[in-house]
This record gives sequence, C-alpha cells and structure tokens, in this order.
Amino acid sequence: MSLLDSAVTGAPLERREGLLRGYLPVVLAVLVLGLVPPLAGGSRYLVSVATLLVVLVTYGVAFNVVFGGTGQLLLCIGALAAVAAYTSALLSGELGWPLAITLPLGVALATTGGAALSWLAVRRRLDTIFVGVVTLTASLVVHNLLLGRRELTGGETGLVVQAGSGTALRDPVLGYYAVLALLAVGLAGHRAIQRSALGWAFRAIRDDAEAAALAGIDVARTKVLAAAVASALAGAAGSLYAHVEGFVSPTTFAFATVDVRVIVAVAFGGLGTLLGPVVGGVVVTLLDEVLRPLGQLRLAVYGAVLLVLFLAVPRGAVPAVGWSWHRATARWRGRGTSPAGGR
Amino acid sequence: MAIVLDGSVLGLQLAVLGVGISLVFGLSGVLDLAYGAKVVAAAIVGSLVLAGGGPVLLGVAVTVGLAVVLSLGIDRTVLAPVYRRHGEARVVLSLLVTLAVAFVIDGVLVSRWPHAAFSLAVAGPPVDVLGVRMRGGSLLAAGLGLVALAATFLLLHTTRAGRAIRCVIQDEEGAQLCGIEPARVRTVVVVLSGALAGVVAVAQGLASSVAVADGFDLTILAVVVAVVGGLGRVAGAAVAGVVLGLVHALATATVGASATWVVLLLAAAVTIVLRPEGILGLGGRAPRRHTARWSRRIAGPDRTTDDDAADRAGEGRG
Amino acid sequence: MLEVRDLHAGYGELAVLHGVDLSVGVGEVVALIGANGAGKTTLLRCVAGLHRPSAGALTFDGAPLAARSAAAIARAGLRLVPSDRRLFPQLTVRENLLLGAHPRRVASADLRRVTALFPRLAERWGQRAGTLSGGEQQMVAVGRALVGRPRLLVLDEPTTGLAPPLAAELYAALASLRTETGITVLVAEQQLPRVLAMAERGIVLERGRVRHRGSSTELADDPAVRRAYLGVG
Repeated sequence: MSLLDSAVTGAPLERREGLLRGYLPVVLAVLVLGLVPPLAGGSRYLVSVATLLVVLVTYGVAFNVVFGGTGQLLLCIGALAAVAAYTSALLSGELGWPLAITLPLGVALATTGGAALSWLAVRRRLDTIFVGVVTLTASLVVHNLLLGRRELTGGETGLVVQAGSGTALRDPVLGYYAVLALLAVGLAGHRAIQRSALGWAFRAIRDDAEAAALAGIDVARTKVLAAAVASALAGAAGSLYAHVEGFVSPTTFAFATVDVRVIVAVAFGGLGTLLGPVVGGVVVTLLDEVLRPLGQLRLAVYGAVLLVLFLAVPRGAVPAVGWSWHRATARWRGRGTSPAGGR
Repeated sequence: MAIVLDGSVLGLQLAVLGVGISLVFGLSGVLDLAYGAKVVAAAIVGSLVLAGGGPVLLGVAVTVGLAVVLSLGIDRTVLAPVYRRHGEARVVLSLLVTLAVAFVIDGVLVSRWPHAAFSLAVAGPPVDVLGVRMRGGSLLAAGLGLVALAATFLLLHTTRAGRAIRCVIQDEEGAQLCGIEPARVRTVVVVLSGALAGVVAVAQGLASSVAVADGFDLTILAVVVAVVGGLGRVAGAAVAGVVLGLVHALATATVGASATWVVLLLAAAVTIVLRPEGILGLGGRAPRRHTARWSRRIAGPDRTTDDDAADRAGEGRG
Repeated sequence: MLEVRDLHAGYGELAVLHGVDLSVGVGEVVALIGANGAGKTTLLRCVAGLHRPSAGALTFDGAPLAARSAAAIARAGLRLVPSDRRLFPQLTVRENLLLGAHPRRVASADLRRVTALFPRLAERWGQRAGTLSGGEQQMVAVGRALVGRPRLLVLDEPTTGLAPPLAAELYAALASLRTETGITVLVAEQQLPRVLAMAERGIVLERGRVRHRGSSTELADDPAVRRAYLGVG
C-alpha cells in the first residue's frame, strides 16, 4: 500500500513504513497552510480569512473523526465550540480567572457534553439519522440559550472577549499560527488513531457495529471515546478562535455557520479520509470568497456549485483523486486491486 | 383552553409538515432538507399572485400547484442519481443534495424578493370557540390542516394506491414481487408530499405569514416532528406535530416566549431518546428491528450476494 | 416457458454467473442445486428482474424480460418467493395475501386454496406478519405468490432456516399443489432428497457454471453429486 493510498483511504499504514512517512501528509498540509501569512503580504483581511479557514478545517477534522470514524452524526460541532468558547470567555471576563484555567475548563465542558450525547445515543441504540436529530436539537438549544440569556452572553449583539487582549493571541499572524498549531495537533491525532488499533476498531464499527462487537471490540466505549476526542478538538478550536478574534456571538457558532459548512467541507473532501477536511475546507472557503461579489445571489450559486460537486464526486474529492491515481498507477505496478474504504 | 386551541392551530401545521417530510423518507430514505425552502418558494410566488391583484383562490391554487411542481421537478432531476445509491450512502448523499437545493431556492428568493411575505388576510371579526376568541384566519388554517391530514389518511388506508404506498414503505423489494411499481408509487408520494408543502404554505399564510427567511426553520421543525413521530411513520408524525404544538403553546404561556424554543426542543430530544421508534411506539415490535428496517429495505438488490441472502434469511428465524 | 441463455451477472467487479443456460418447460418442476455462493440466488434474482445481468438473454413465454421491471414480470405471472421472504411485517397475514394479486382484487377461491394448503395460516389470519415464525412466514410468502395465479412459481431455498418438520410440511404442501394444479415450478435448494423427490429434472450450479444436468434419478445416482451434496458415496 503506497503512502498516497494510505492517506486517501485512511487505512493504517504498516508500521515498517515508519513514523516519518506516516505523518508526511500531515506535515505537508500544515507546511502549506503555514505559508499563508508570508504570502498574504501583510493583508489583515487575508490572514483573518485564513484563520477562519483553519478553524473550519479543525472543526472538520473533529467531525471526520466522529462521523467518518464511527458513523455518529454529531450535528453539534458549533454548539460544542460555543460551550467551550463562552465558558472560557465568561469565566475570564466576569470572574477574572486566568486563561490557563478557563480554556481547559471550557474544553472539558464541551468534551463532557459531546461524550454524554454520544453515550445517550449508544445506550439507546439510536440510528444515524436519530443521532443527527438529537444532536441537532441539542445545538439549537445551546443557540437559543445563548440568545436568551442576554444578561450573560450579550444575546444577538455578541460578546467582546476581554481575556487574552494584549497577549500574543491577538496578533493576527501569531493568532493564525496558534490555530494552525491546534489543527496540526488534530490532524496528527487523527493520523495516530488511524495507525493504531483504535483505527481498526473505528473501521469495524463503521462497517458493522454488531460484527465489531462480536469481534471483541467494545463498541460503546469506542464510540463515546471518538465523540469525546472530537468534542475536545471542536471545543479547543472554538475557544481559541474566540480569544484570537476577541469577539463571539451566537452566529459565530450557529448550526448554519459551522455545522452546515463542516458537513459540506468534509463530505466534499471525502468522509473519513485524513486530508478530506483540509481539501473540503479550502474549497468551501475559496467558494465563499469568489462568490462574495455576487451579493445576494451568492447563496444560490453556492448551492448550485455544491450540487454539481456532490453529484460529480459523491464519495468526495480526495478519494476520487486517489482512485484515479490508483487506476493510473495500477497498470504500471501490474496489479489491479482497488483501494479499500473511503466511502 | 386557550392554550389547547392555540397549540392545536400550530400543532396541525407542524403535523402536516412532519407528515410531508416523513412520507418521502419512509418511502425512499431521502430526508428532504429542501422541504422548508419549497414551502417558502410556493408561498412567495403565491404572494406575488396576490400582489398582482389575483383572486385569493388563484393565489392558493398557484401556491399548492407550485409546491407540487417543485417537488416533482427536484425528484426527477437532482435526486435521480441519489436513488441509484443504496443504504447509508443514499441517506447521506440525499442530505447533501437537498441541502444544496435548499441553498439554491433560498438564494434565489432572497436575491429576487428579499422582503416578500405571503399572508392571506381573512376579513371578519374574531370567532368565539369554546369561550375563546379566535382569529378567523387561525381557525381556517387549523381546518385546512385537519382536512389535509384526513385526506392523507384516507388515501393511505382506504385506497389501493395507498396500500401500495404502505407496502413500498415497508419492503420495496417485497412490493415489486407483488407487482407494485415502486417508481409509480414514488411519483404519487412526491406529489402528495409537495401538495402538503403547499398546504403548509397556505395555512401559515392564513394563521400569520410566511417570510423569505423562514425556510431553514420550517425544515428543522419538519425534521424534528418527523423524527419524534418515528421516521417514516405517518400517524406518528401527525400525533407528534399536534403534541409539540401543544407543548409550544403551554411553554409560551408558562415560561415566556424566549425560553419556549428551548422547552420545545428539549421535549423533542427527550422523546426521541426515550422512544426512538416514535411517539406511538410499535405495538409490540422491538425497536431494534424497526430501526434496522429502513436501512435494510433500502440496502438494495445490487449489494446482495448469495451468501448475504442466506445470512439475511437467518434473521427471520424463530 | 422460461429460457435462460448464456447469462452472466455479478456485483461490481465480482462476477458470479459465467454463462448459465437453463430452460423450464410448461408443467415442469425443475430443481436448481448448488452450495452457498454457487450463484443460485443471483440467477433467480435476474429471472425475477431484481438484478440486471451483465450479458445474456432471458425470455418468458417467448418474450424478452430484459426491458421489463420486476413488478411487470410479477404481474406477467412469474412469481419469485425469495429466501428472505420479503413480507410486509406490519401488515396482517390476510393483508399480505391480498396484496399478492395487486392491482386486482383477490378471488376468495384463491384465498381458500391457500388456507387449504397451509391450514395454520387460517389460525394466524389477523396476526402481523412480522410476528410469525420463520416457517409460517414462508407459508405466507408462498401463499402471497399463489394468489397472483402465477404460471411459473420460482422458489429460492424455501426451507432455509426451517425446522425439519416444518420443511417437510412445506414440501408436502408444494407436492399437493403440484398434483392439483400442474403448476410450473423452478426451485433452488440445498436439501437434495426433498427437492429431487418433487422435481423431474435438476441442474447443478457450481461457482456460477452449470456442472451437471439431468433427470432427478440420474442426479440422485450420480456419484459426484452424491458426494458433494448428500455427504455419501
């Protein structure tokens, strides 16, 4: 199995391929994204778009781990990010607690929330769509609470994040590298999971949870673990973004702003693939920026483009590219096996 | 009493929404995220007819007609590739494709008629119902919802076409083996679901108004009602709609408007978690088998091998 | 009545049938014999229009089946009873049977014939099909096919998952149906003695190819067949 195949299909590499080669796709992706600030030529606007892109990709990695990995349709990535971000911003802002305490606390709260939802779904044996709708209602509840408790959250107008002002996080470029560092951790973590026994457990569960249980995999624990990891990553990304931006509002984390874009990005990039969220996130962000001059018609054209993309590459761009690459090289390598996975 | 009546007015509309989206899902595993957008599109075009001085009945006819045409049009074009996939792949692709369709419809509406709203004012003084003063429009909306639901049930349970629909919902391949054409049944269901979307638009226009931005919320409400009712179960969706309408009215009266949504959504989430098989339950059948039902049904013939078939036959034992 | 010529079929890149020829004449009972994975189910699904063959010709009463939908084939009188039965679990036994003749009404004589054949179904008349035992479900499935007045009844492993007494009961019912009506039957089966007792001819399928064909007595005496399917010889 070649390096590219493995990056594409998310299949664990055999250990003899070595640590360096296993993580090469992660390193390359992060290096490319790291070139943005020098190339932006001091444009604050470009850096802020890129920051949002990296945060979106990080959310995407989280969603990819939990849905692409274990088939749990967690539609509350934005809400989990909001929980972590508001917790940290409010505790630091109102009570003056240091970021070093409130940031982990917010992430812990989001992790607990995501894991609890997953545990509930596993306990009640909810199907994909049911998990999706329960987590969707959870994220709408969070959204409405943020809107409703305006004496705390500022409601619709949003909240200026006091904590973190004056720190390095508020420097646009350093802030960008901070969120990029988190993405690097997320991608490397996903890679590590793929290479470990846990990765096999994920694949087995996604294929057939019952068969996985019969094979001795603790399905409930694995699913809850995946949800916890994803929630922690999403919470950390949301919280970090709040402190880098210095401002949060319910819209920042709304279902339509975060989850819809995450689903679109991950689905387009390729569900369950390592680099799918990166490719999908870049395409979604580029599409947003390119279509901006269209004004009100933007949404319609965006939808039409997505429609074409989804129908043209229903499995996602990364697997599609990988598949053509594999086809092209299969003859040369003299064997006609097909890459596994990458649904 | 006022709570019950208000709740029923809203609840009947939610019921129609839920039934409309649930029918299609039950039949084909396509969860239509463009459902709310279709309602809004039909309503806005209806409002244009009214704004142009057209008679009210023409406006209503155009609204319902457009909803049907949109439904069929979308089903025949962009959903065709979705129907060629099976199992979970179909469910996921249908979510993405209908989401994109919703973007297209919303985008066109927002850019062309950003401020349009569809509203059917009903003249006349409020009417006393059981001691509660109700607006004529609300009563008409409730009546329309009730008629639409009753008509749907009669169609499903007394006609041969309805029996064919129920069969395909339960087991598409079994229906084919009995000589029922799933494609024809799907056409009937898509038309029915579109007509129900039109009914929601008209009823909402009677009770209050439909604005351009309402599509997303309508879709979410429809999905929540359908899932609380037990996806694909028409009676469940109807009951779930009315119950959630009552919860909404009760919450508005007790905890105030701002927390109403939180209460409603929590009620929905708790119901789903406690009864994933739907608010009505299954009459003795184990929920596990029910939830497996549609995924097995749309698992499709082209993934079956001899060994698969032999394995699956084993499930029926005992 | 049914002609299968050089049929190839598979799933994606996996080929299951490699050129199968088969014919069933009016009034015949033909057994299709083979182990798991031999391609029996795929062949029958192609015949019923549920699976599209990659190559080959299928004709029923001289008319090609390729362009027809599974539902149209069923209405034309070729009825498949699949091994997983495909009943409507939420409908009662009676409703399941009534659907067999869609879109026509079911003649009460047809229903009576089914209850005469399977008396236990009369006891279960108002019960949901999903709550029946495997054997009873199989009887409903066969009954549902019969009320459609098929000219060719196709059975896919009708005794899979059935306890031996129930399997015997089912074959007894099929045999009496056969003597009463002279119906044409194509039946796939792994239980040789039972099916060969009813069938006139048999076809042995192995890994997607016809390995033997002959009369029931020839097959029952063939040492290779006996070794492979009867565990003796």
